[in-house]
Amino acid sequence: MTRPVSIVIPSLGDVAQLERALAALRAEVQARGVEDQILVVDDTGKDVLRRALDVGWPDVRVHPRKLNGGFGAAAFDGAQAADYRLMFLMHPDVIVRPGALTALVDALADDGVFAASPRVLEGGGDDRAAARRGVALEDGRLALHDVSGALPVDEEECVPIAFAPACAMLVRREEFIAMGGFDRFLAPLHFEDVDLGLTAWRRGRRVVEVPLAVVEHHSGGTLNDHVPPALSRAAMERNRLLVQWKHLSTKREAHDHLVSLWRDALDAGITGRREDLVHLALALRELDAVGAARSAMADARIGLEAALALGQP
Amino acid sequence: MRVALVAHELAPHRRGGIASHTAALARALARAGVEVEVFTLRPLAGLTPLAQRREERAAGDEPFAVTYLDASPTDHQTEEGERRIAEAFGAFLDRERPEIVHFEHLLGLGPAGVMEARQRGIPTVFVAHDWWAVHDNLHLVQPDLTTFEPGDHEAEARGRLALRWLEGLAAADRSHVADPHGALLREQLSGANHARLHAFLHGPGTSAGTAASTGSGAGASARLGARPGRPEVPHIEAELERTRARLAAKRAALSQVDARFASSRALSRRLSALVGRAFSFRAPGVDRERIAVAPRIAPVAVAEGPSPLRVGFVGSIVKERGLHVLLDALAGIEGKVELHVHGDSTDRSYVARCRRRAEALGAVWHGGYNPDDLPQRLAALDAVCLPSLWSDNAPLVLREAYAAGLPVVVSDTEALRESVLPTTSEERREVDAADALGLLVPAGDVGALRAALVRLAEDEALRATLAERALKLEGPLAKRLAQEAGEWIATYAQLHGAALKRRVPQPVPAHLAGLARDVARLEAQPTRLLFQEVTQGLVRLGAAVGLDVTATELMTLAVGRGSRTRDERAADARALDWLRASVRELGDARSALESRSKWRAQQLEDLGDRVAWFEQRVREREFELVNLRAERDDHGSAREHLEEERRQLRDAIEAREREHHTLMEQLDEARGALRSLAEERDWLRDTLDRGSEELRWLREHIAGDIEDALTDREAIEIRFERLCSEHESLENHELWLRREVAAMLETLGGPAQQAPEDPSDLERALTHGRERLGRLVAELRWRRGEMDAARTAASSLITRLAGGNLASRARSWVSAAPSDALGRASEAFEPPLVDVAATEDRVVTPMPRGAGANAAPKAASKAGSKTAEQAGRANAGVEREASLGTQASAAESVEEQ
Repeated sequence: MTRPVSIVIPSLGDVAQLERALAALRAEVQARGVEDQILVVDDTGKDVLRRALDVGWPDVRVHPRKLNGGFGAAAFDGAQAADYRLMFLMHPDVIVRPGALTALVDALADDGVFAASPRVLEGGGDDRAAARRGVALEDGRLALHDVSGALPVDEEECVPIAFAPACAMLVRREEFIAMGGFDRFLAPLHFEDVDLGLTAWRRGRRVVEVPLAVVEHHSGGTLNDHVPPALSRAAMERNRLLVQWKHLSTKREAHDHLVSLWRDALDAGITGRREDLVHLALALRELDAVGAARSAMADARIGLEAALALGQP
Repeated sequence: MRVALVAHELAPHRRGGIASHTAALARALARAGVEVEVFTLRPLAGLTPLAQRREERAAGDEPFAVTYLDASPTDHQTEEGERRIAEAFGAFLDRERPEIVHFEHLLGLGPAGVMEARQRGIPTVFVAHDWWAVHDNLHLVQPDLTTFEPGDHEAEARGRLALRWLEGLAAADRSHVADPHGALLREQLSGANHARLHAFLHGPGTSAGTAASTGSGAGASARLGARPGRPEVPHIEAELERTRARLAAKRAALSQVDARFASSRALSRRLSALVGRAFSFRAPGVDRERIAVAPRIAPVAVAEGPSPLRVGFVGSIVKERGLHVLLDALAGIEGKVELHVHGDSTDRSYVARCRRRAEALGAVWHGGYNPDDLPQRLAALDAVCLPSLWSDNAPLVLREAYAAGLPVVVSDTEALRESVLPTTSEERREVDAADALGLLVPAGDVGALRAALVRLAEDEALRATLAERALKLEGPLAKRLAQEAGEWIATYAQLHGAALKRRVPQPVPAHLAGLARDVARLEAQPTRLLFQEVTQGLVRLGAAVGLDVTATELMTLAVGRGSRTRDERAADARALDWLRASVRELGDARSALESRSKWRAQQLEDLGDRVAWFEQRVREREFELVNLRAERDDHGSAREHLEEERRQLRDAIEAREREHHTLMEQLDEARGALRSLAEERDWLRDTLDRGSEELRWLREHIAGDIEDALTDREAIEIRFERLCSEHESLENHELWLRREVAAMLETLGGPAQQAPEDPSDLERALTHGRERLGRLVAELRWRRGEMDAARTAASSLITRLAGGNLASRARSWVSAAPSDALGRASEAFEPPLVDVAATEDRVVTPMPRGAGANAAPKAASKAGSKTAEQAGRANAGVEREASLGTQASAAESVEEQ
């Protein structure tokens, strides 16, 4: 028999979008018949979702936050407020297909698995159009790339992946809380899930994708309505650097990375690519936080490159 | 606050007023704590076009930076050049991120420079020092050194075309015309060329001498600018259109400037009106303290008399500043005035010409100077002369002269007057106002200038008064640089605050606000500072991750590893190669197309010739067609005319025929009437004869009957009664005859009269009737003659108008007229001759009209063989009675005809 799950959904207040996700979830929960918990974290800071969901969704619990704190903070609040040992963290723009939760729960029966990710269909496309991102070092820089094309399409076994996308992941709630959730120095957004996956791998845990668990991710429904593209890009590039700086574990990695940064800085300075300089400067302003994050990884068993190698599908 | 100070020139590389003041203002602003980034144009050797180089002037406590854009003085003179310069200025703004852009001048950048700042949301300030805002001709000086009124764009267009013509002359014969450099002196042009230039600019009706004298400032400008009837100049419309478009672009750009200023009140007034936007007056400042502290340098003592007045010409040696006028004025007063020339310019031929002239007059030629040396140069002068030919707005040299306590001699123009007569009032004031700082002379007036210099040289008290006023001067003419900088800083703060209020940041969730703020702060930094922050941060990062490699080593490794710039440059080079190859291919294709185009053009030309030939043929045919149509119309008209005549002739002929027919009928009727009359006459004659016969028979029988009567009185009495009855019948008949004759006479046109009483009268009446008939016949003959004449005339007319067959036919109609028959008819009218004498002797027995028929058988029975004849006559007479009325009418008709 499967185990109940606390489903935590941080939301910025888009009720229509949320209701589409809840409808799919309700069907999945009823099908499972184990009284899973659905917990919506109202991250608007205005407690607007309770009333919106009060009538049609009595089975949904709303946990309001006093301040808008971003996805990472809301997820952590939700984890603390949830009841079950397993927590399925998802974005409100994700539609869970039938059977996804049970498959994920099954995957997490393995104690070595830190997080289980469903197969994510970007935009709700067919199963073969799944987006699965790998992480690698390219020219000394952390880079994401799509690895779905390298995978068999009819696989059923769990596949190791570098990280479980934050849009849909199943974790053990207490472990997640013990880690402090997503690293706060990456707030407000982007690369928190990559950092979480790398941290897990480096600490000897595994992250897997469960092909039998399928969700649709209708990207664009989360932050794109609230964040200017330039600002989102700045956050992503800053955090890409911060994650790498946190996990630089060997001198060779650091050397190669620094040379790459210097080269880019010189290029940007000479050619006037101000955006590159701004992203670099944004990251460099967080050096103190990087130091603290690096200290927290003192218990890591393997380095960055080793972790990335393990996380390759 | 970071301010971009923009000017087309900057000291010490350039020594114009704008160049010096911009540098001085940058220092003053920096001294006041403003982060000044000067942007200026300057040719940079060995660099690619439009390269930018930044240098920091960090001497003393007034550091400011200058970014030079590689541009020659002529690069901005084309629209494309100006646009490229403006784009480069945009890149400068992106790099340096000023919070305010202060345009000390827009020459070179053009209106697009304003728009570059505007697009980036940077508040802007513009200061007008000349007429750039409304004219590309900054000083409103024409190539013949006359001036024109601001707003006279036709004059500007003419001036530009004239200058091109002069430059063409210069290119063709450099030794003759020399370098025009915007204008030429009268003596630099031949008489013919000068006259042509003058007509080109002002029209043939003006006096060359008058116009070339440059007049006196605005007054002369107004006269020249407003002169109507300027000659037509080729391309003037296009040039005028370009000038107006340029003005429109400037207006649009200046309307986007947040604050506009002018360096003189006059200029602010004029520009506000011409641009349609307010220009506030803001006087420039000078470094009075630095000038004032320079110790005075006494003149060299002369052996006899007072030392000459040391008059300085200080500034750019350009024609519109009028040094040549000052040199002309100097001639003859060399003993009283000693001229010192401080300055230089790029107008080399004018500088050389002035220098030769100055040295010939004993003047001292000092040449160009460093602005820092100005206090010492002023300290060695007794006065400063500014003989400008244009309406010089707010020349710094006058303010600097006042700071040095020097009187001035200045051209009397609208703006310069403002610099000599210190007042806050905008009213014009008298030259000799109590607070005047110098002497004003009409611009270009050599005599007046000479007189003013002599007056100043000879009137030591005047000099002392003016010097004292200058040293004690306050107000806009004595403004210090620091004061000006303070005013600007206040303006900057105001504009910057307003801009911040205008900026509405895009709303983001609260958890993103910090990041957005950090990004905005970084975006506001100049690129160099951003880069500096990054490099410093990278050094710290190296330390944080435990690297013991220096930044230099890392940079060395980075450059050796390759770079995105290098990759992009290589990609650009490949793209360039591809483009070159494409251009070559396009060139080949173009050549092929041109060849084909030439062939096509030739074909077209041939076709054009053929078309032209056909067109000519068509034109000829059309011309012929027109003539033919005209002839056809003429023929049509003639035919219609002939047909009309023919119709008229036919109508006339028909009328004549009808008339002829009527006449013939009337003639027949008349003839019948005559016959009846003749018969009537014959009957009457027979009746008379028979009466006579009967009377004779009675006479014979009366004698015999007497005896019978005696015997048969009763028979006699019966016979007598019968005779009486017959007598009465005859009387009645006679009366009837008389009536008939009277009626006939009346019918024949005679006067109404009673029937004759006796036969003689009847005979006379008949005679009269015959005479009248004779006249009628004569008249008929006359009419026949007329008819013949008319017929002849008609025949002739028909022959002339119709000719040929028609005439023959017409003649046949006429000839068919029964002329002979007419003649015969007329002859029939000839009255038969009547023997009147014979008839007079006859006794006519009256026969009663009604008894005729009865009497005749009786008479026949008594008259034997005569009876039947008499009875026949009597019957004929009765029958004739009915036809007489008709005959009389017919005769009357004949008479009328």
